[in-house]
Amino acid sequence: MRALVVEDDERIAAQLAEALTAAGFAVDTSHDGEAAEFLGMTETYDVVVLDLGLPKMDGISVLTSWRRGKRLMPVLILTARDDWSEKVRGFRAGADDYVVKPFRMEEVVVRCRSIVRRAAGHATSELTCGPLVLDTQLAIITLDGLPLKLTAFETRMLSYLIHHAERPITRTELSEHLYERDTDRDFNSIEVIIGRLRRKIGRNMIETIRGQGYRLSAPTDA
Amino acid sequence: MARRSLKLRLVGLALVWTTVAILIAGLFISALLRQFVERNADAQLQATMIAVMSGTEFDEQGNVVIANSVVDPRFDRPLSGWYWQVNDENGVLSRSRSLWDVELGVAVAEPDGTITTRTEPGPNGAIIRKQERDFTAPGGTRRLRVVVAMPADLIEDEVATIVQPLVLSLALLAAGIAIAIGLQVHFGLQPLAKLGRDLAAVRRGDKERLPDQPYVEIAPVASEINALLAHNKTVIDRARTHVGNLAHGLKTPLSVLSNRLQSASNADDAVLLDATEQMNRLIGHHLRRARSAASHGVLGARVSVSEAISDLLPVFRGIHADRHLSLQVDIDGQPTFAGERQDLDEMLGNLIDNACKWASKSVLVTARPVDGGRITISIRDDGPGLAEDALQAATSRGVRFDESKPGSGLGLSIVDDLARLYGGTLTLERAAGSGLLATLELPASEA
Repeated sequence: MRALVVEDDERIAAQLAEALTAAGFAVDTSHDGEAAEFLGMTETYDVVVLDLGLPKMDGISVLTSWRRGKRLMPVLILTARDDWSEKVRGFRAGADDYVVKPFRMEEVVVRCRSIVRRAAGHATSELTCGPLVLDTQLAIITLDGLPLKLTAFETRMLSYLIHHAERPITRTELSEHLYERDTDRDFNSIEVIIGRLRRKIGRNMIETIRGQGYRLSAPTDA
Repeated sequence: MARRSLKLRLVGLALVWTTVAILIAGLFISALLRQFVERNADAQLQATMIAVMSGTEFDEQGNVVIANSVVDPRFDRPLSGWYWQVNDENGVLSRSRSLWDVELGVAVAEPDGTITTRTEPGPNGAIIRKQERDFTAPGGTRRLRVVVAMPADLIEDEVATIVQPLVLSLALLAAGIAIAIGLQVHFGLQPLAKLGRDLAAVRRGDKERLPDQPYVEIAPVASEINALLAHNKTVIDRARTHVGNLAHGLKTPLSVLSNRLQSASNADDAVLLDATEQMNRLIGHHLRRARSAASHGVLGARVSVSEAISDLLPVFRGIHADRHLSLQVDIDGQPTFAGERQDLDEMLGNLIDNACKWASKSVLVTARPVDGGRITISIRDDGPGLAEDALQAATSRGVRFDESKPGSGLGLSIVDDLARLYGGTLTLERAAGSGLLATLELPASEA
């Protein structure tokens, strides 16, 4: 799961990036509207945390521009102005949720998780795929009711797969959603992680589709 | 202060002047007419006089012979008012039959040939117009005097028959002018009346500014008023921007502070954390109050309630997406709120947000215009509702009933403040069944 944090105050940006990384997101950070607009148009994010008061280009314009360019990733807006007109403006521009400053980091994390889940088309906070259950609020994955022991990167990959269960996912798509910008994207390491996940959750749940990628699906008894 | 009418003033002044002018003209014209009629009558008298004089002569013995050369029968009818008489220095020589034996008085002699005209009571008391002159008849040297007379009523009657229609037509003219002045003033002042209506529309909030005036006389007034309105709006917008900037400026460092304090976990930090939260609440509360106080009374503000609600609904569908609530809206007619969009958003936002937090399945928003230029908007949820005493306390500042639901607890008091600022009310009551029914009554903007 990749997240973009757009916030001009560097202290808050750092705090947000830290909290989201701890929550299992691959986080990119941007401090002004123009850079953010470019990143949003060119990179693939699962969620964006967007401050409305930005230098160079304000948050509403950034969001409007993304939506006009058919960039539909869920966006959580941060606003210092706690009035409803501001919220209306944000939602009209295409926001999915908002948090008012000053905020608690946990709140931002919880909101991000829930809009990611909603954007993937899931109405409830627990996502199930056979024996696998992902509690999106706590970001805990259980197998047959028992918590799985996973590394941060494994959690990131598996929760992306659970969000998009029953759908073939290419290696390119996976890499776009798992790595921060400017990191080496290595298909081999993806295969290694897939292999480790298969050992932990059962070989038959993740199938390799030749030429396409991977698919997570509930095991059929047959 | 007793209001005087500019219209009456204009019409009154114009009427006074036209009346005076018409009166003077009337008097002048009737004097002319009388002169004309009298000259006519005098011409008749002189004709008679000449007839009498030409019938008068002296015979060889020096006696005066007067042939009755006046054939007009009016001179034969007794005391008809039409008379003639010829005198010498000793008395009456001859007279018309209409005089019988009465004698017309003779004035003091004038130089030869000068006609003396006078109007005086005749033999029977009726007023007559009388002319006399001295003359000498052929065949003699004695000076004779001829007197002719006619009834003065005839002149008066004739003057009257001409003056009556004159007065009537002058009166009609005066009436016509009065009507014309009235119409002129009425239509002439109409732009002023329209300016008044436009201003009223601005005050009610139906218009933001006065329309451009095509008349040079009131265009400066209208543009000054518009400039004033614009200035007013700028001042308020500036104040509002400052308030917003202040909020933004304070909240970012507060965020940093409270997040830093959260990560540490000793008792002192908890106290500081409480303090930052309290600071945040107070900033929010007072900034909102300052903003709403500044916004109230802005001329020309009006908002469509249905538009505001339909803009707000996506926000709630987003925020409360996980609660799967049914959000229903029922709007009767076209309620419009006479006030600022931001303030209506604030009131509706807080109330609907509260309802969504507490509702178990559904929230119903209804809005309608009511009599007396008001609108009511009610928001009903099917949550647990509030107890009677809690309902009373609900709108006092910052009361929170359940710390388990997120929110600053200032929502209801802000709504109450705003509603009061607009001269409206917020009432909370238990909804039929269960839940809370919040009703806003606010001033409507006339469509």
